[in-house]
Amino acid sequence: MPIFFKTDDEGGMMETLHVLLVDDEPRYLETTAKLLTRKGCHVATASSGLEALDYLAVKPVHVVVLDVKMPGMDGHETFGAIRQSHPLVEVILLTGHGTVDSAVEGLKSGAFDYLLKPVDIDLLWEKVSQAWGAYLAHAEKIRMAMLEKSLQSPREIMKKRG
Amino acid sequence: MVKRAHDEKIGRFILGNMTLVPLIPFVALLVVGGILFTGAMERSIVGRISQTARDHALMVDTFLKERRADLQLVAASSAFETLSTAQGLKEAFSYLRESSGAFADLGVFDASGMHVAYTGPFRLEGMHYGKEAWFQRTMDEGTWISDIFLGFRKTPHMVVAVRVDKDQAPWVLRATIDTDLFESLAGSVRIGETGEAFLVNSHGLYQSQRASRGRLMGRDPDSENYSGDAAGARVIRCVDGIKRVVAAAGLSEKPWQLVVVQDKREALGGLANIYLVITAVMLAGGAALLAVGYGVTSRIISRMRRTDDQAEHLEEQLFRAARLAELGEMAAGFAHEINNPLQVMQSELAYMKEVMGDVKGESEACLELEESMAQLKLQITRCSEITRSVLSFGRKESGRERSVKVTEFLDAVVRMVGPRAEVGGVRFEVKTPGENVSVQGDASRLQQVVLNLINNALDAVAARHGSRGGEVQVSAFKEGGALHLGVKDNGEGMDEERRAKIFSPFFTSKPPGAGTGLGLSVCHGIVESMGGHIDVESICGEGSCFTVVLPLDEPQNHKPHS
Repeated sequence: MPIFFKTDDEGGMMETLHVLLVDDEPRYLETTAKLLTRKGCHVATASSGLEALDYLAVKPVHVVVLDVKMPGMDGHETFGAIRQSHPLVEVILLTGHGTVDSAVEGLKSGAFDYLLKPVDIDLLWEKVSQAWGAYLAHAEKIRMAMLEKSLQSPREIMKKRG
Repeated sequence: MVKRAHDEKIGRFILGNMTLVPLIPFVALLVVGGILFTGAMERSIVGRISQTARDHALMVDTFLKERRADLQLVAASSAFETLSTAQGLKEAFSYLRESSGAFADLGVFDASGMHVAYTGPFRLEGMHYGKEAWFQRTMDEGTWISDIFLGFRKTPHMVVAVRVDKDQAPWVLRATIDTDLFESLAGSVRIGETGEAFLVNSHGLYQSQRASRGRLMGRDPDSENYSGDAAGARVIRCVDGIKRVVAAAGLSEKPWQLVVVQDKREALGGLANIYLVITAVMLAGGAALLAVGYGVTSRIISRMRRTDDQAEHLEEQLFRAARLAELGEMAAGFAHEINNPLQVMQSELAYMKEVMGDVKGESEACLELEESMAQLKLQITRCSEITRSVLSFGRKESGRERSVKVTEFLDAVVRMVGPRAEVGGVRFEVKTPGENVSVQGDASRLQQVVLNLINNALDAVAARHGSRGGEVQVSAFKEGGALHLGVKDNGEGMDEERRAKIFSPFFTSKPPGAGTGLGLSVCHGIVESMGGHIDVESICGEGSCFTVVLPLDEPQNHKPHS
C-alpha cells in the first residue's frame, strides 16, 4: 500500500511518461531509449529482470517494455514480480514468434499487450502511448474511488452512531 | 546383410533341430528293426534249408531200409532151389516189383560168388562175383547196400544184397535199384532257381545226379566242407567262387550225406530287398522330414523377417520423428536468435530515420540515403517474415481447432514451397478460392498435409522431367458445402496396384532411406480427423491428382444470413 500511495501521489502530479525498457541486448536498449526519448518521454533501461525490479523499487515508472526471453530471470518471472509489487504499472511484452503462446498467457494474467520482434518503433510508441493512457485512466479511477470513499465515510460514522 | 546372415544361422539351427531330432530315432528304429528282421529272416531261410536236408535224408534212409526189407522178405520166404530156376526167380522179381517199382533186376549167387540165376535187362548169369567188393561185404555183414558203382554191366548202379543162411550153404540174393528212380528220389528237391539236393558218399563222390553240374560218381569239389549232421546250414564259399548256403544231413543206412545247397544270392536275396525297402523308406522319410522342416523353417524365418522389418520401420519412424522434433526445435531456436539482431537493426534504422529527419535536406545525397534505408527496412522485414514462417512451422500446436482462411493459408504454404519449385524448374500454379472461404481445423496440421502433397508432387515431376517441364497445380474451390483442395502433377503417375496401397503405412515408391512411407498415411489420418477425406486419381505416365475434401467452416457459412 505504501507503494500505491507513492505512485498515486507522485504519478498523479507528473505530466511526463516514465518508461522502463528491459532487454538483454544493450545496443537495442540504447537506441530504443534514444528513440523513445525523442518522442518525448522519460526512458530508463535495465538489462535484466533483477535490475528492472531494483529500478522499480526506487523510481516511478508507468510503462514497462519487457523482453520475454532473457537469460537469468526471464520476462515472465519479472512480469510476475512487477504485478506483485507494482500492480498499476502497465507491462508490454516483447516476444519472438515462437513464444506467442507464453505471451498470450502473459496477456491473460494482466499484461497490457504483446509485440512480435522485430518491432517497428512507431508501433512500439503507439502501444506505449496506449498503455500510458490506460495507466492514467486506471489511476484516475482509483483516485475517484478514494475520493468517494472519503466523502462517504462521515455518513458511515453517523450511521454507526445512530 | 549382417541381419540376413544371422537369420540364416537361426534357420539352419531350426532346420537342424527339426530334421535331426526326429531323424535319429527314425533311422535308429529302421536300422535296428532291419537288422533284427533280416536276422530272423536269415535264420528262417537257413533253418528251412537244413530242415529240407534232414527231411530228405530221412526219406532216402527210409527208402533204402524198405528196399532191404523187401529183399529180406523175399529171401526168407523163398528157397534157394526155387530161386535158382529162371521161373522161380521171375516170380520172386515180379513180387518184388509189386512191392516197389524201384527194383531193376534180381539175381541169386551161391556162396562162392557164382551168379546162379538172374532176371533183368542184362545177361549176367554165370559170371563170378567172388572178388567183388559188394559180395564180400554181403558175405561178411549179412546185408549190404552198395555205393553207386559200374560193375560188370559198366553202367552206374547200386545194389541191395542179403545173405541167406537158412540152408547148409549160405547164398546171396541181390537186387539192383533202378538208378533213374533213385535219382529222382534223391534229387527231387528244388528250391528256387539254384536250390538243389544230392547225395555224396564219404569220399565225396556223387551218389545222385547233381542237377547243376557234376556227373554221377563224379567228385564234388566242395565235399570236404559238407560237415554232416544237423549242424544246420552254413554259408561257404565254393571252389567256383560262388557263396552258397549248404546244409548236409547224414544217412543212417550208408555213410552218405544228403546235401542241400542254394546260392546265397538267391537264398538271402529277399534280405537285400528288405535292405532296399528300408533304405528307400529311410530316404523318403528323410526327404519328407527335410521338406517339412524346410517349409516350416522358411515360414518361421519369413515371419521373423517381417517382424524384424516392422520393428526396423518403427524404429526408423521413431528416429525420424525424434529428428524432426529436434530439427523443429533447432529451427525455432535459430529463428528466435535471429530475431534479436533483427530487432536491434530495426531500432537502429528507426533511429537513423529520426536523425535524418533532424538534418532534413532536400539534397540528392539525402534522398539516396533515404531510399537505401527504405531498402534496408524492406530487407529486415523480409528476414523477419522468413523467421516467422520457420517459427510457425516448427511450433507444435496440437489439436488447436480454429477457422483457417484457405487463401491466406495457401499463400503461406506457397511461400514455403515456392523457392523449391523455382529451383527445380517446375511451373507452379496456385488457384485460391478467394476471400471468406475457410475450413475448421488445425492450421499447422493442415499445413503438414498440403506441404506433404506438394512435396510429393515436386518429387514426382523431378523424377520424370528433371529440371525442365514439370508442372504442379494447386487448386482450391468450393463445391457442395465442402472445400476441394487438389494437388496435381504431371509426373510418372502410378498403376492401380500402387494406387490401392498409396495410403497404407510403410508403402513408399521412393528409394530406401528417402521416404518412410508414412507421409501419406499420416496425411490421411489428419484429414480424416478433420472430418474430411483424401483421394487420388492417377493415370500411368500422365500424372496424379490428390484431392483433399474438407467440410467448410459452418459459422462462416451462416454469417452472411444472420
